[in-house]
Order: sequence, then structure tokens, then C-alpha cells
Amino acid sequence: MKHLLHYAKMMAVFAVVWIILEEQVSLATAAVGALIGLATMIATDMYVLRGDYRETYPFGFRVGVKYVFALIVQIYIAGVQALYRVLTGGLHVGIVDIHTTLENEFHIALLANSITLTPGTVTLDRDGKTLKVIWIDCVTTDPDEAGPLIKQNFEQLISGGKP
Amino acid sequence: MITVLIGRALIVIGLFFMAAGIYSVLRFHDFYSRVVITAKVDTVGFLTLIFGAMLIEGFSFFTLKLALIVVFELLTNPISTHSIAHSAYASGFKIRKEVRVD
Repeated sequence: MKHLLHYAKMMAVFAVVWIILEEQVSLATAAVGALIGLATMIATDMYVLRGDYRETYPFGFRVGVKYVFALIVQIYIAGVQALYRVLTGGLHVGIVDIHTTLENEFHIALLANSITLTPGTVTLDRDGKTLKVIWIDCVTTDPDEAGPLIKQNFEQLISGGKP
Repeated sequence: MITVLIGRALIVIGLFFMAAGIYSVLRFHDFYSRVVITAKVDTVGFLTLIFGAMLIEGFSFFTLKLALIVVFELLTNPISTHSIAHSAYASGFKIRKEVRVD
């Protein structure tokens, strides 16, 4: 019963997704969606994950929405910048290491994905808390200088406002 | 009516971004610069195209499904880019200096 409450927030999200897929707004559809979501989460918990579902994916809904909007803005900046590079040429590609302060595996994966989508950088490799990044406009190879330029404010966004 | 026009304009802009992505593959010679540039331009093109389709359709289940597609695109696109770049790096590609061809 305690687990049910733990999962309640995610069940609401799954119910909404199910309603969208079924194209039918009714209580029955929502209930079916929530139940399928619950079954999926329990099955994932039992057979796929080593830890607890909530500990593995600690990501609130509000943080997620904020993060997606910030990401879309950054993607557009990245796209326009890349277009400018395509038209003018002149690249200075380099590979730099940066360090992250995030602890959680899922958060580090999200940070790596954000780096891939934001201007001029693609994540290459990861070793613990160090990410190897290709940088199209490589002004410095020092990890401490390059870190803030590449990560921008995504660490704070992902971890939910806490620095 | 006006939303349909804006939606069509957005779709054309998205296609323009994608065309720029194809052009960048022909223009650059270093593998890594190709990966970085095409990853960005492609994502922007796709998102703009989807937003255009959303505007044309208006608010309906179709639009919400497109929103779901955007979310999954944002989750999977960087992973595919990363796996391509990572496999190149793991098999020992070196960065080539970009030669200016006029």
C-alpha cells in the first residue's frame, strides 16, 4: 500500500499518456492506463532495476517540464549557431574533459544528453564523474574553465534547483 | 486560417534546416565536425517541422501525440548521436584539421 502512494504521481502521468494514445477521455481509460503504468513500474522494479524505482529515476514532474522548455530554447540556439557555422565554415574542433558534481546515474545520463543537444558539443565518453566532450569551438582544454561554458545551468536544472 | 499559414511556414523552415544538415555533410571533411553539426541542425529541423504540424492541426489528440513524439525524440536523438560518436572515438578516429574549400 505504501508503494502505491509512492507510485501515485507516475501513475497519473501514465494515465494521461494512455488517454492520449487511446484518444478517449473517460474514467475507465484513465483507470486502465494507471493500472498498466503500475504493472509496468512493478515489473521494472522486480526484474530490470537493481535499486528502487524512485531512487533510480529521481525526477519530479515540475522539474521535467522546466527542463524540457530550457532544453528546447538551447536546441534552437544550437541550431542557429550550427547553421551559421555551416555557411561560414571555420571550425576549431577539440576534445575536452569536464567534471560534474551530480551524483545520480540517471542525472549524469541526462546531463550527457543535454550536452549533446546544446550548442557546439557532443558527449563522447564517460568515466565516473568525468565526461569527455567534443567541442566545436575549442577555446580551452582546461576542465575547470571549459566546464561552466559547456554545462551552462543544466546541472542545477536537472537536480531541481539545488546547486 | 493564419495558424495554417504559420504552420506551413514553420514546416518549410524545418526542411531548410534539414537541407543545411545534408549540405554540412558534404562541406566538412572531419568526421567529428560532421557529427556535431548534423546532430544540432537535424534536431532543430525535426522540432520545427513537428511544431508546424501542431499549429496546422490545432488542439486535438493528434497534437498531443505529436507532443509525445517530441518528448521521445528529445530522449533518443542524443543517444544515437552519442553512440555514433563514441564508436568512432573508440576505434581511434583522430581529429582532422578542417581545410577551407572555396
